[in-house]
Amino acid sequence: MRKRTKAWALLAAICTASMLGGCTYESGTKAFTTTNFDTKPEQTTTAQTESAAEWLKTALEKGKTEKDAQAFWYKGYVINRILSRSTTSMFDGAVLTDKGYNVGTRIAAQPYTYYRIGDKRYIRSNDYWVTAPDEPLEFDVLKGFEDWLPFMDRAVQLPDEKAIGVVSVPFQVKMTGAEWLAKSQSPLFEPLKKLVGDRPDLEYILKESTIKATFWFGKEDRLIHQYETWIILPLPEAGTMDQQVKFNLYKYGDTGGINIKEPEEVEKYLLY
Amino acid sequence: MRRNPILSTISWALYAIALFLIYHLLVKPAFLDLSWIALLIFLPLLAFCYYVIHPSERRQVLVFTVGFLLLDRALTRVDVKTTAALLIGGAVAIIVIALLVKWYGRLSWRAVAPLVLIAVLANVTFNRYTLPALSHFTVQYESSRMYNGDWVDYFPMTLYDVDGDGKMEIVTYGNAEELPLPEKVEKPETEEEKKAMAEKLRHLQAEPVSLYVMSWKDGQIVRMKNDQIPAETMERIKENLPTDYPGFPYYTMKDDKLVPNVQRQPYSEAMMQAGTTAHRAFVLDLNNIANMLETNKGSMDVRHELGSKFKDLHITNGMLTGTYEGKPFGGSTKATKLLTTMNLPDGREGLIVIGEHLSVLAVEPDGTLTEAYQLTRKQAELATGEFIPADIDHDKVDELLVAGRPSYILKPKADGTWDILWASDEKDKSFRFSNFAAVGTDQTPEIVAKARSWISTTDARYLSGYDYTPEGLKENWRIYLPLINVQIGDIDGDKQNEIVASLENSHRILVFKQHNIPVFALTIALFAGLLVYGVVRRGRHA
Repeated sequence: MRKRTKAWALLAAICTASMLGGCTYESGTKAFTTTNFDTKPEQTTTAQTESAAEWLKTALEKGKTEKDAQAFWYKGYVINRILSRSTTSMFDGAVLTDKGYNVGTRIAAQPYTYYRIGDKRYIRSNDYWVTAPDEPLEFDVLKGFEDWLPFMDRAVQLPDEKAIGVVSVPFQVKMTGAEWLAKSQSPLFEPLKKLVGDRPDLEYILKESTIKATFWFGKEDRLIHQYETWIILPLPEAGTMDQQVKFNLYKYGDTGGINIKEPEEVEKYLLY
Repeated sequence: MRRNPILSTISWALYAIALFLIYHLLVKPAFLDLSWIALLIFLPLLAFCYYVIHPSERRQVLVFTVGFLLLDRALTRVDVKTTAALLIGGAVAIIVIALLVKWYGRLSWRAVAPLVLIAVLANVTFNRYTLPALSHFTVQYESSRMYNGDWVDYFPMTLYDVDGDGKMEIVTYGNAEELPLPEKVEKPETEEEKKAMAEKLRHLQAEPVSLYVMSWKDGQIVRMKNDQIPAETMERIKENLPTDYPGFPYYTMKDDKLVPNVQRQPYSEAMMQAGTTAHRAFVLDLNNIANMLETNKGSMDVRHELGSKFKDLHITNGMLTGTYEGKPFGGSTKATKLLTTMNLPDGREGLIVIGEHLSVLAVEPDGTLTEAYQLTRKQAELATGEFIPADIDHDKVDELLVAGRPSYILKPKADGTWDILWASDEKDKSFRFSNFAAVGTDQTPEIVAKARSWISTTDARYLSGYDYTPEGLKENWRIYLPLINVQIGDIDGDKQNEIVASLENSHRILVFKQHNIPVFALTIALFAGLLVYGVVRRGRHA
């Protein structure tokens, strides 16, 4: 009986001590943990004989012609990190190149679905389907990749890596925003080139910026499986903006798994 | 012997109060902080409590205990969207639990009545946010919701003495007055209504948003009218608000509005040309920056005053200019933001700026600038970091609290390098320094940080106060709420600092006032007393 009392007393003492005792957060390792900033990419040990530009050209060609490349899933995001705030937009959906696509999207915490099959285009927001009346852009998921070709001569091949389960060969290109804008042939940059022309403040921003693009090509199928860019721009009153754009194109040829509603199915629920 | 019915009712009521305090002030924090260790502590205690109750009363006490805690929880979670839903939900919870307790616990109404009464009082007589803070604080005030828009999760907040009366006003953004919530959501019925609703859904909408300056008046926080605040003061207020770009680059804040820069259909179409995504993002970013620079007349950052010696600071086209102790200085810089100042080991005041890297700049006698200290992106993640100067060892030289992953306390050495006094655990993704200020009656500043529980692997952050010691950060207090936007200052003019904060997505301001009652120790004493009472009562029964 006495032993029991002692055990209870000991337990009570431990409980009280653990509750009353102040906690101290001891220091972790007193050394800076080196970030991956300005780290030279690890060189691959299995260098490809074909150049990065050839890999990109092949991927674009196969993407247009290969049967399996006409149906695939994709997901991606754009994250903007400024000071302690992150703003994310996300995409998730499936593509049938002969029909169209369905994409679940989020812009600044506002989710919606965009549906485009043939010449039918709808938006689903707040549980309502509505028609999307704007003139559509060309339906070509690979559009724009060709604009990277002039920069691929400076690409570095990285060690093989899996992108959603597929062994891929990554290539990385790095430059300043000023170089990108000056050498790119993308028509999207034309208005920006004009704007920067007479703005020394913007020239300064571009000169001090960093652009890093990485492409993951499937080792076997030679298709684009992953694409990531980092855009680091000096931002007024905020240090820098670190923007990450990342896309995955996966499950190529999954015609059985991709099931996009027929327009009639959507139209049944159309609000207006 | 027949028990006095009033005494019996009072006894049950006191038991309910003790239960309430023990559960919320001991059991819950123990589980939040200690996870499975709390289970190891409380399981034997529960077993002890179970056996200490005489078998003839065990059923009644256990059912009362569970019933009371269930009812308290149910009433806390009742739908509060409408008064009717609140009343009906509350009444249903009370009736169901009261009847269950009465029937299953074979309890008399003298027990059921205090169970219901104390649970109801615990939910209507004080702000429930007090409970996670009660060991050291009470909630002095909770504002109504200040933002009724669709998407912003939080706005920056600061404290600033707007009217020069010695107490701080709370400054943030909101739109509750400009955008009142509709009384009820109407379903579109007619063609016209459907057309109007469709038009609204197709496009992201601009939202009104304006500065909310809140002042303490007669125990309430009331909004000051913006048009009664002098323009110069307004400029200073905006300068003191932490820089923030909610929704960047998809939204821009201009002319008291949050204006969308993209729209749903074109944005989706554009992003579905995957190869152009980076190009489009870059164009969107640069257009935004071009507008910002145009608004700021090319300036990266401007501060009229920073620290005690720096004035009229400008960063324009890679040049930093200003005055230090009244004398002009200037030099080139790649920084885009003027952060704050810190006292350096040589007695000078250093200016902390950040661009790609963080620099502490010192002004030389000839008016040139030298980089006294540097923290590079290679050393720490700076993009999402926060930097707080703090004299934690009271030697008149500021250390730098770096909030990041990991977080650091850096001491500037005379040779221009940093001495790492403390670093958070590399695996700890939650810890983040928040402030360095005196809280409550204690005039000594302390480190305020968001920290996760000691054992649990979840990343939830609780606001905690610490003192630096060579052994580590010694915890002084903890509020078990994931608070953001934490500011510390005297907002009610009593010469003691309060903690002003909010919860993500709540858009309500909470003001915490420190008390000096040893609540924690008293609750442990109460718990121990209850156990002793149980043992004595059991002894008498036996």
